[in-house]
Order: sequence, then structure tokens, then C-alpha cells
Amino acid sequence: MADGTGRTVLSAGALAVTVPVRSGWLDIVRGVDLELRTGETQVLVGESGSGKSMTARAMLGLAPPAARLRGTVVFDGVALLDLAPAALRQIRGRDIGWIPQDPSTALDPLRRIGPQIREVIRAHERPVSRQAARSRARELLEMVGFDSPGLIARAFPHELSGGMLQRAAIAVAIACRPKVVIADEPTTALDVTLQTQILDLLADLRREIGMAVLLVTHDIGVAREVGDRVSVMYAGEVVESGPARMVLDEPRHPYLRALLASEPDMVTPRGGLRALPGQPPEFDALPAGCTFSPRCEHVHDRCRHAPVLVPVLSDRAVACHLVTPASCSADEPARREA
Amino acid sequence: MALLEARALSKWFTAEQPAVDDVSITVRSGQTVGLVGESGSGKTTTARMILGLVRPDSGAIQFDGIDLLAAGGTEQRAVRARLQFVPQQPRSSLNPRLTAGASIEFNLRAHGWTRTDRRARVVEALDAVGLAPAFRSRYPSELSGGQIQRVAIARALATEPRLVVCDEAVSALDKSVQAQILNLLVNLQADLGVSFLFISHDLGVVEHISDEIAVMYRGHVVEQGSTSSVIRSPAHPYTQLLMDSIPGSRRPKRSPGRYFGAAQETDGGCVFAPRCPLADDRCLDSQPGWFAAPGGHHARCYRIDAAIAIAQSRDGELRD
Repeated sequence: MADGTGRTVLSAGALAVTVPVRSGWLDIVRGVDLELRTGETQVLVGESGSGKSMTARAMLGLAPPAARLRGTVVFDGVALLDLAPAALRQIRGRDIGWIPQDPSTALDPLRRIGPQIREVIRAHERPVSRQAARSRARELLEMVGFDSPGLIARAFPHELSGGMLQRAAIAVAIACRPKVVIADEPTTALDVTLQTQILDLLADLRREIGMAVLLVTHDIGVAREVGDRVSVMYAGEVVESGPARMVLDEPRHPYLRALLASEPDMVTPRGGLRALPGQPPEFDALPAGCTFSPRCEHVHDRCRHAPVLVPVLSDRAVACHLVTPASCSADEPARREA
Repeated sequence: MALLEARALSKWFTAEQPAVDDVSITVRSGQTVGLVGESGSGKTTTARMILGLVRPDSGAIQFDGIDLLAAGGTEQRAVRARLQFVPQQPRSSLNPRLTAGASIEFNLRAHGWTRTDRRARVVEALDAVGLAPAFRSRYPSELSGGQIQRVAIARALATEPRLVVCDEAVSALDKSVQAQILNLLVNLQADLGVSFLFISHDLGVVEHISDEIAVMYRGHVVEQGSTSSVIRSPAHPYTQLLMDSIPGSRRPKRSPGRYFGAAQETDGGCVFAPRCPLADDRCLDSQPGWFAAPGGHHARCYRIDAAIAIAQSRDGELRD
């Protein structure tokens, strides 16, 4: 894990994404703040439809063209949301790499792996000789754990397994030694034994290249495994954020507490899982006030008003009326229901 | 007597590699057996053979006292009312043009229920999975993922089965909804005495819900026995790898490169040998038989003693 002294390279401030639907507009990301620091892995965790992927895509300028974006995204002092597409393309791929969820659709099926890596290098670092680009591609394939990079460079995507493809996609993402890598569910399509390899690889590369990583996942185990910092999303908002260990070992927001308590294991008596009632809300029918209140066992009058994300301890913030700085001291976690 | 007894099932889809090789599964009445493995391990093919959707190349299946492979069409159809299925992707397995009620009724009609009995039974089945009678007239597109899964379970339970095969029945659900469905399955089992063959890639889910567990790798069951014994003292290097791989588990850092590499063809040896850090000449030469593990379960591994010793020393390190 990084020591948290890295400087901020990419940040989002009050980022909001609104998308058109037949009946009007839906706010699917509603004021998200994020900060990525050099050498750190920031995890964005949430269930499907929580807005985590859209947040990551919006930070890269990859939101759907019809979407409206508000707020700020700042990379190294440059406001990305104001950039022209051509200028943004210069940063994306060179300074910010993107690792897709499903590498089999992200790589061109008709082209060999080597040329797909060389294309990125030549697009961003002109002039690069063909020969130099070729040897860089080999080096990159070696970095992501291939024993015979020459063979892989000549392979077509369909000749590789899922884990090999994801490593090739990572080679593309880090081809220009980016300062930031954004990975959207990079291991979700993979078997669990391959997942560990890919997560270990990302951690190694982060150290080697000294880059910041934004990892989007639905899997709290993954967040715990690789995260330095974590932000938990629900219904388009961050409901809790802070250092990963602290947040996941001592969750404060009722949603996160309930989610962690519902994990199946062998200790909990069968049939006795503390299941969250109901399901996450739809964006066209968001509950008034706190969006989690209809499922919350601690709901009370104040929850009719939407809570804001407030710092509760140094480095931690929670969006819940029940959790206040006064209710949390550094030694004593707030345990209202205990 | 066991409710389901599948013996030495094998299936070859291609000439090079069996999809399932010599797999035996026993499910007792009122019990849940978990089948865990990664993609390509043969768990779904095993389920499909038991359900009569794929014919095994060799082996035998006894269900409720009937030899399923010898049974004729009429008898097989009668058996299917007692042997039901909850598929992986209920959204694609429910007819989008039929209401939830009509889908459940369709299954009942196939098993000869009369119209009046069917109507009553649909409401009962929906009630059993926690859905109000009004859900009868909802279309799949109007249901959430958790509700669709409840309808699929209601459809399977409607014909009063003795065994339900659940293939990744909770894998597509969000974590906050997954626990609801797991609790539902357990409660239904307590109320109805139904047995489950529960297939999943998620070891956490399988260990929670199963009395017994079978770990599959490349078409073989490599470790099998009571859940507590397998999970507390996994004896096969593959099971150990699987448990280490669960993200967030407090595993010690493995040495780099260990287990790196994909599954490869094996020439008559143990299927896991190419990835196994303990493999020796014997493992590459011949397939291991079953060896007893200390907890009382069994693993197919020649190096079982070495594997257990490593696991124990690591557990010691973890405790320190």
C-alpha cells in the first residue's frame, strides 16, 4: 500500500452527469468528489446502477455524447471538461490509460496484439521509429507477465484466453507510462484465480510506474484487497469515503454496514444472513430526502432531507444524518444499533 | 437412501479433452450439495446431465429410485416434476411475452395439473417466494433482477420437486439482493424439505449454503466432502488456490509467479499438475485416486500430505 503522501493528479469536484431518457432527463451521477493521488489506488465501489462506471467514464470524457456534465475534472491543473475533443484525446491514452471491463470487445479482433500496442505509442509519441515502437511493445508485454512476448505480439485476440487478453489490454493502457490508469471492473469477467493475478499485476505496475489507479468494482473484497482509499456509491452519490481499511473494517454509513453484514460466510447460520430489504432505487423514482432511507433500519424524521457528505474524522466522510463528527471519535466507532 | 446418486459421469464433447470425467455426486433428501469451480470446470455440464439435458457418455444416474438413463419418455417426464431447475440467467429463460403467472402455469400444465389446481398453485408458489398475488400478471420486463429470480424459483417449486438444481442462481444479483435470495432458499428447504444441487463459482456463497461440497477443476471433482471439513482444511492444492484467490481474504502474499499460467493439456496425469507447485513425476504420469484428508473428506491428490502441511504452516503464520 502507498503511504498516502502522493500528490493529487486527477480530481473530480461536484461531478454530475445527466442523461436524456424518453420522459426527460435523469441525474445518474449527482455531485461526486474524488481525488486520485500518485502511487495510490482509489476504489469506487457500488452495486449495479449506482453510477460508479459513469463517474469513471465522465472523468475520461467517455460519457455518452448526449449526456450533460457539470462540475469539474482536473488533471495536472488542466480542466478536462472544458477541453476540445482533440485536446482531450491527447491526454487520454498518453497521460490517462483506460482498462476496460471486457477486453475481448475492447481489442480489435481483426488485428494482432503487437500492432494494437504500437498504435497507441505512435499516436502519442511522434516521432517513434517502427523499430522502437516494436521493441517497446515487446517490453510492455513482458511487463504484464508474458514469457514469450514475441509470440503474443503476433497473436490475434481470439487466440488468447480471457486472462491473457486482459493482460494485453493492460499493456495497451500503460503503453505511454500514464500518470493515471482508470480500470472499470477489470477482473469481473475473469475467473477468481486469474483475478488475483491481474490485481497483483496492477499493484506491481502502480509501484513501478508510480501511477495513480482508479478502480471501479462492485466487489468489496477487491476493494479491500487493493484499495488505498475507497469511495462507496449509492444512487449516484458517494455515501462514504476514506482510507480503505478504515472504511471497510469500521463502516459508518448504514448502507455500507448492511452491505458488509449481508456477505455470506460459513459462520453465519444458514438462513440468517442479514439481508438488506428491497432493492437499489431507480433513477426515475429516487426517494425524496436520503435515497437510502426506504431500506434503512435507522430511518427517522431528519432523513426526509437529503444528507450531505460531511467529514467525520480526519480523512473520512459520511453522508448520513446519524453519523456526525460528534458521534465519532477516533477510538470509538459510532455503533448506534449495537 | 440417497435422493440423487450420480455415478462416474463422463461426457466428451470433443475427442481431445473430456468436459466431465468420472464425476460422482450424491444428494440426500433435504440436503444442499454445492458444486464449485471456475468456468470450464464442467459444473454446468454435470448439472445438465443430471437434468437429462445432456446424455452422459458413461455413468449412471439414480433419482428417487429410478434409473434416469434407462427411463423411457413418459417416465422421464414424470420424474422432471420432481427434479426442477433454476437457471443462471432467469431474464432470458423466462418467456418475455408471458406474464410471471403464465410462465409458472406453463410448467404446471406440462406436468398435467388441471386448470383450477394451476390457478391456486401459482398464487401459492408466488407466496412461497415472497411475492404478492399481483405479480401473477407482471411481465419479466417489469421485474427487478431479484424479483425475476424469485419467479424462477417459484416456477421450479410449483411442481413440488424433491430436488432443485440451481445453476449460478444468485451470481447475477447485486450483493444486497443476493442475501435475500439465499435466505429464501434456506427457508424453503426448511419448510418443504426440498434438496438443492447448488452450482456456483463463488466459494463464499457455496460454503454458506451447502452441507456438502464438491470442487471441480477441468472436468474432475478434485475434492469432495462435508463443507466444514473442506473449508476448514482444504487438502487439494487447487482448492487451496481457490480459497487464497478470494479477494479480501487475509492470505499471505504468494511468491510471485506461483500458479501463473493457464490450464494446459495434460497427458494422462493429474489435471491440475501443470499449474501445481507440488507436482512431481507421478502427478504428470497418472491420475491420482481419492485420498483421505484429516477432516474426514477426500481429495484426488498424490501430494495430499505435502499440501496439508503447507496449509497448516501457513495458517500458523497467519495466527502469529
